[in-house]
Amino acid sequence: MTTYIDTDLANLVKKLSDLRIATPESNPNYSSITEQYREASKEQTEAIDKAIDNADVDYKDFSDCMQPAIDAINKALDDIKQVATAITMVAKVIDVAGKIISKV
Amino acid sequence: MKRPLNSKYYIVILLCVCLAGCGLTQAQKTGISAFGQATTALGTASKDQLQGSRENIIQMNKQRLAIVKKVSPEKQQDGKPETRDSYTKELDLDSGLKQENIEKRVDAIDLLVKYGNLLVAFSEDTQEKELTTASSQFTDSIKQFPGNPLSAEEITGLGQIVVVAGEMFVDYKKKEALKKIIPTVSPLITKICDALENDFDLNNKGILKLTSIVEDQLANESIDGLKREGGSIGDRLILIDGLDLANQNKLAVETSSPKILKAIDSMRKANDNLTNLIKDDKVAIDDIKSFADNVNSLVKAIKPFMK
Repeated sequence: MTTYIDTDLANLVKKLSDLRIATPESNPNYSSITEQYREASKEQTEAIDKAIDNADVDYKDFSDCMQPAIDAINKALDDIKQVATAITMVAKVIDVAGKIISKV
Repeated sequence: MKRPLNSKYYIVILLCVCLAGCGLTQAQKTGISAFGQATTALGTASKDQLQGSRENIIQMNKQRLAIVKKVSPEKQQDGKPETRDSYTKELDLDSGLKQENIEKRVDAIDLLVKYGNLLVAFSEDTQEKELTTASSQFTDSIKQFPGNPLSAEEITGLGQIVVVAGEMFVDYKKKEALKKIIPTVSPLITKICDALENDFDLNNKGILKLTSIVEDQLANESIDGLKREGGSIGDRLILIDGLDLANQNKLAVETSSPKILKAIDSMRKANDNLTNLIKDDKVAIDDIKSFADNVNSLVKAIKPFMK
């Protein structure tokens, strides 16, 4: 998912930002540049804000699909840990069988 | 008296030989471990960045609102009287980057980190200690078995074979599990790579771009204030601090964005490399090594900017 930002708006904000910084406060156009910059920058913020909200779904989808995978991995690890337990159980069986035979 | 090995011994040895070719090779273990560690490190770094972004945005917006001497309106736009909530909304300190946005990302990244850790556990945990203990119990039982025909030497040898066979069986089970897990998770890794790229690319509509806009707004208003004469020393200091804070954030964003993007791109390639490696142990692990190197470089680069 690669939603590129509105390049025109991004360029406009960048240019207005540079222009406002470069313009002396005494310039008659300064206040209108200021207003235009603030407005364009606010619009850009709102557009990104919406895109961030929309992207939440991608992360949620990942989490929803990944959780069962993690559970499966944990189960596989648990199964592997059972190998030592199985050997111990065999040892116990041999032990018990030996005790029974010695009593017979 | 030394006796020839009985047929049961040969069967066990034969089983070991068969299993020896079925487990994970050293190259596969190295590749899986390196991928797991790098994934964990990238996940942790991304999480820190995202959590820090919201805090930085709030801090910068507070400073900017103070500089522009923000005055909240007496009434809401629809004419209703202001409330505490409407004043808070009006300030918009987080620029719309809500805690829920961050939480969704953190939840996903936590799972990515967990996956990385599990891969490391798979490649490194040999169960050696547990198998040795189990083997001792096994040989003790044999020793005590009435009429046991094996010598002490043979029992010790049998114990060693049980450990080796156990390790090989564990390795075999691991490989079988990973052959299912890695290809299943692979598309999910691609999915999170896409999502993270969106958030860390300054050309996209993501979190780092939002941070960049907010720092530009602060820099712009600070410079505007600095152009005007007057005000107290305290007022000037707020303006200077504002510009400094904006510059710090600009540097952090511009440093971390390309590094994180490079690490994400290499995770994408390493993910393919890992999928091929688990199928064929002859595959070179260059992309996985490159991923690990890029993540190390990222961690070093962003360290100075972490609070």
